[in-house]
Amino acid sequence: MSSDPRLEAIIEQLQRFASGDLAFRGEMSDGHDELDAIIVGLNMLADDFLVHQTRSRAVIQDMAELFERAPVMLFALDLASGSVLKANETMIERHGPAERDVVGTPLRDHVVPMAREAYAEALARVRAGSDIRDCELTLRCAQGGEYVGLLSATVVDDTHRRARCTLVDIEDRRQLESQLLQAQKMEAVGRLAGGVAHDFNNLLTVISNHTELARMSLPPDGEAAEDLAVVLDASAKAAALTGQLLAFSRRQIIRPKVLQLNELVEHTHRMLARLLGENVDVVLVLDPDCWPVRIDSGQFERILVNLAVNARDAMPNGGKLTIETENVSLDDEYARTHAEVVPGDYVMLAVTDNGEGMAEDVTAHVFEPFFTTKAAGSGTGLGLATCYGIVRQAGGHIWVYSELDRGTSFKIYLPRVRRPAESLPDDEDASATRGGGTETILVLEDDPRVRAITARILGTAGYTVLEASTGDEARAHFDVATVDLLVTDVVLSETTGRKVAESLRAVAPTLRVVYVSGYTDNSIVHHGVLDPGVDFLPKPFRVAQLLEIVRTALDRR
Amino acid sequence: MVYEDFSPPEGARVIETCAGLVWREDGLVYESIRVTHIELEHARGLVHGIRELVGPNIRSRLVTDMRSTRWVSADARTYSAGEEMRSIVEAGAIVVGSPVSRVLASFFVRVTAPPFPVRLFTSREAAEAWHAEVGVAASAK
Ligand SMILES: Nc1ncnc2c1ncn2[C@@H]1O[C@H](COP(=O)(O)OP(=O)(O)OP(=O)(O)O)[C@@H](O)[C@H]1O
Ligand SMILES: [Mg+2]
Repeated sequence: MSSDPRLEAIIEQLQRFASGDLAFRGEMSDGHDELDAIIVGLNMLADDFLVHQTRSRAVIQDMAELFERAPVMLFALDLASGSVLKANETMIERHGPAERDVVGTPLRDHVVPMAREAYAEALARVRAGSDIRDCELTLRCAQGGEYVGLLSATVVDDTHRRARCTLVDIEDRRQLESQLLQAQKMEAVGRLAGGVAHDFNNLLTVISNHTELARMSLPPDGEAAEDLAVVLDASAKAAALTGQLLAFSRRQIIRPKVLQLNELVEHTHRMLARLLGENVDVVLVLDPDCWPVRIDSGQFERILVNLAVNARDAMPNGGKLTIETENVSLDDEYARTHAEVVPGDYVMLAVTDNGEGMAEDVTAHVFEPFFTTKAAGSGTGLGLATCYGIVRQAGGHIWVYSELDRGTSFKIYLPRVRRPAESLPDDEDASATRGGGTETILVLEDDPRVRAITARILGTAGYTVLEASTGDEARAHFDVATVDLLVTDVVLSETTGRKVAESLRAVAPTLRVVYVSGYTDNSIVHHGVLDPGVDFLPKPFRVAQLLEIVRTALDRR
Repeated sequence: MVYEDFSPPEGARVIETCAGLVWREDGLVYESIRVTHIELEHARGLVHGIRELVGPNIRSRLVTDMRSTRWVSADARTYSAGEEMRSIVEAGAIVVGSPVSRVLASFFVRVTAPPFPVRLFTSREAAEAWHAEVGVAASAK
């Protein structure tokens, strides 16, 4: 039986398609009959098939590309064995280096032993058919090091029993969170410490001044006078302590200036060398082109001394202390990984020792007040807390890097100031000249003991002293007397010294004012920075300091 | 081959495109396709022709004579079922004859699937009757 050659051709076309040759097209006759229609149909099918094939290849390629380069780890898990069936590049980079280090290995091997129980529970849930979301696990990277990841898995609904998984590294996020938490904790402790310091300063003012007055009334070589000298000495130490607390709590009143860190470092250098002893080499590596920064020079000195003393304690057999300065620009990337950092230009000060270093659980707490590893009596744990407070008050940042038996490095970043630096203040004449006088002074203070001792000191020096505990009482004095000077506490119970002073100036325009406080308050200072031209006496004060500032204020009239 | 029943009437405005003739008659737009192999350029030519005839943004009801067509390329089919075509066609009636033209048109309707109503007919009269029905239904809404 001879068959139609056109039917033969159609059969050949079908065979070619079956063997994968989709480019083949059947030839039509000149007619329009049913066989031609079949050929046209086959040709169109082949055309459409090719179009779809090209399109789906492109889609598959896009998907594959997305899979490999996604910033999260993606992989498929064989549920029976718990092994990775397929993994993207991101996963292999982290857990590789080669593909075979990941694919074909149980995921469990990449989980740290501590977290394996949690992982086993999660896997059991997936095996039972339920999806899991954001299961927190600690995993080990191929290059060493661990990270915290969130594992999610979706069970694939087929008989092969697979799960599609994602693993997101949240280490950065967690570190940022803990830095923020730490900063908030410090803030809260700071507020508490500031409040305590305020009350302490009032008490110390009373103690030290009464002691001083008592000592003045005694013969200088008696036993009682010697006892009182010890009390005075102790209250001076206590005052220094509250000073540290205030610095930490950022409530200290400061006079920041635009300065060159290099000059400050060089200025303190000799004192540091003496402090550290002969066994410690102090090396300065100062960038001569350092930008100016804005800081209180006394506070900066305090930072250097605290860091240097810590370094000395960490190098009991001597060593090297390096102090470096350098200009740095902290970019968005840095800010992203460091809580509370604003990107911009900073001057970095690094203080590095090659001493015993710290373990991680020590580094985590060093900036907390009263955290110390030193023997009772030899460390209060306020050194670094103070540094932290000072640096933060100056708008900067402080970080610690330490390795056990290698050494420690503290890095301080202070924001660049775009103004020329001022010259360093001359060391102030420590021997304050006492003064007295006959003018009339009004003492406004709501703490009765502090008011009494202030009045007594001024009275002893010859002044006529009036006392008031509220603004109204103060105003009443003005109706009957001529007041030359107002000595007022900044923080009064129902108003501020500033407000009272202003209302009194309406009656007595030439009135001079001395503010006294152990605490910052926004009425005369802004963020701890003193308004220019204000006469201010920090608490606790001593007899000589009070007399000195009163005389100066009166003489300026 | 040109079918006698598919010629423009005396005096009608006729646009001649690279694929065939386009004209208007009794509210419908007629396409008489005179090439045997329709490629992308032909499909485009027809669209331009219709635009020239009725204006750029008017959607017409179409009667297309595909009886002498022996091949439509994949590109041409995709284009004829795309956005540009949708912007000028409200509904399309395709007149087919031979088994070949029937297969071609069926593929277009079923596989390429244009986003407007399309039906196949074996005569011009049947196509016009459908349009009349659809048109009444549409204007009754
Ligand atoms: N350079 C360093 N090397 C090793 N450990 C350090 C270093 N600096 C600080 N530390 C650790 O940090 C702790 C806290 O230091 P911080 O200066 O705040 O308090 P302190 O030195 O113990 O007491 P204080 O400074 O109040 O006398 C120290 O007890 C010590 O364990
Ligand atoms: Mg210390």
